[in-house]
Amino acid sequence: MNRQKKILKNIGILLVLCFLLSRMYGFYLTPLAAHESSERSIHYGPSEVVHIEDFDGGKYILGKYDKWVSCNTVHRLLLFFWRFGSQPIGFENDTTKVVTFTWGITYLDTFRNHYVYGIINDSSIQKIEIILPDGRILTQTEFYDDLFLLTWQELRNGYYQGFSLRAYDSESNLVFVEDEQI
Amino acid sequence: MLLPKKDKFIAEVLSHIKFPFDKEDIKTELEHHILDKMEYYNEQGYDEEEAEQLSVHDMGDAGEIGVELNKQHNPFIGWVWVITNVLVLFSVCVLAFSLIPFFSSLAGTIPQSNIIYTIDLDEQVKIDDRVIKFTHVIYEKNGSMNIIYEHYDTRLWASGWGFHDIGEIEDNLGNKYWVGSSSSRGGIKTRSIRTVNDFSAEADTLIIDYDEFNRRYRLEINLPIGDQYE
Repeated sequence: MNRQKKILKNIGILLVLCFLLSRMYGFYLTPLAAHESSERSIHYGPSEVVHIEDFDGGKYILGKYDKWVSCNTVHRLLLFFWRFGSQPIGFENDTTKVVTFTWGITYLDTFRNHYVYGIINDSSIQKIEIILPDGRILTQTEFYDDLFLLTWQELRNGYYQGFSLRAYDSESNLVFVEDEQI
Repeated sequence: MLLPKKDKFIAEVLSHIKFPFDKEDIKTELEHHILDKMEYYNEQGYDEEEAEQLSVHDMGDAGEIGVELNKQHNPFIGWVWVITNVLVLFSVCVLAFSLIPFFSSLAGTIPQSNIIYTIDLDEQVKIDDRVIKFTHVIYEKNGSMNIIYEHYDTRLWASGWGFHDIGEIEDNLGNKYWVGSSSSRGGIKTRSIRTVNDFSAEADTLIIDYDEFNRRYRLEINLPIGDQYE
């Protein structure tokens, strides 16, 4: 066998090995493929994807499945690939509450990405607001169906701080408030 | 035997070869050619020095041969071949390393002297793409109940989350067991152990009840009690 044929044989073997290794180590070609595989392997979903949002190094994937709401994360890897992130499993919506929410953190180099997501069970709510201890206020008025997602970034080694989540109706009346410690 | 003309000829040819891994083979081949010719000239009655001179002369111009051989032993193709060989070897090693845990057993990690009884199981359940096979239940003198199981994904070589939450562990007396530990040895087929503490010696049934996110299974495993231990 001449050298060109040996190279072709090696490339064929490498393609098969790369496929097997990428499957074993969870490399996916699209963020949604990573998300779907993540949910299926943890035996949750499949959720209906409601919104996808970028963050440094990955994406938030906000979704609904039956009575649960989730915000899975996927991470970019080696430019072309995507891997599982965290929190594929959602929380159960408590329909007796005006707003049901939870929060998560993903880490990237010197930063940590904070995210708060939830579901609005009262159609009168027109604005969700998060007040951080340092005075920053994050607001959302355009919801994804009845879901919301608010994100911010902190230094990785900074102190963990809580937040206050508030919901307002169309006349800016405070309908819901809950303080959360991280 | 010193053959300076032969050595000089070969050195000249090799000076044109850019791909280092082929130099030894080329050198060996040229040496065989020259020595064969020398043997021929020796049989014709020439002495060593003349035979060497004639043999090297018959080989032709060392520079031209070197340039031609360098084309045949293309250094770019050569390096691609070497690099792909290394990559294949590396990938096979990574793959082999990943498979090592597949061959190890967890049941053997519990000292025999601690075991009150072992039950061999052949219970298999499936959730989504994951097949879970419960293989042993081992009850220890300190009250630890160990549930040993294997699981694998039916999708080809798929990766995913571990499977530590096998469900609620209960017994027929109504006790539920939360405190314990779990560990796994990964691979294509993962072997895992779930241990719960202070399992009742009076219980005659171990219940594993999984009910999460619309997936369900329930296993009831008969346990020996009292004199049945023996």
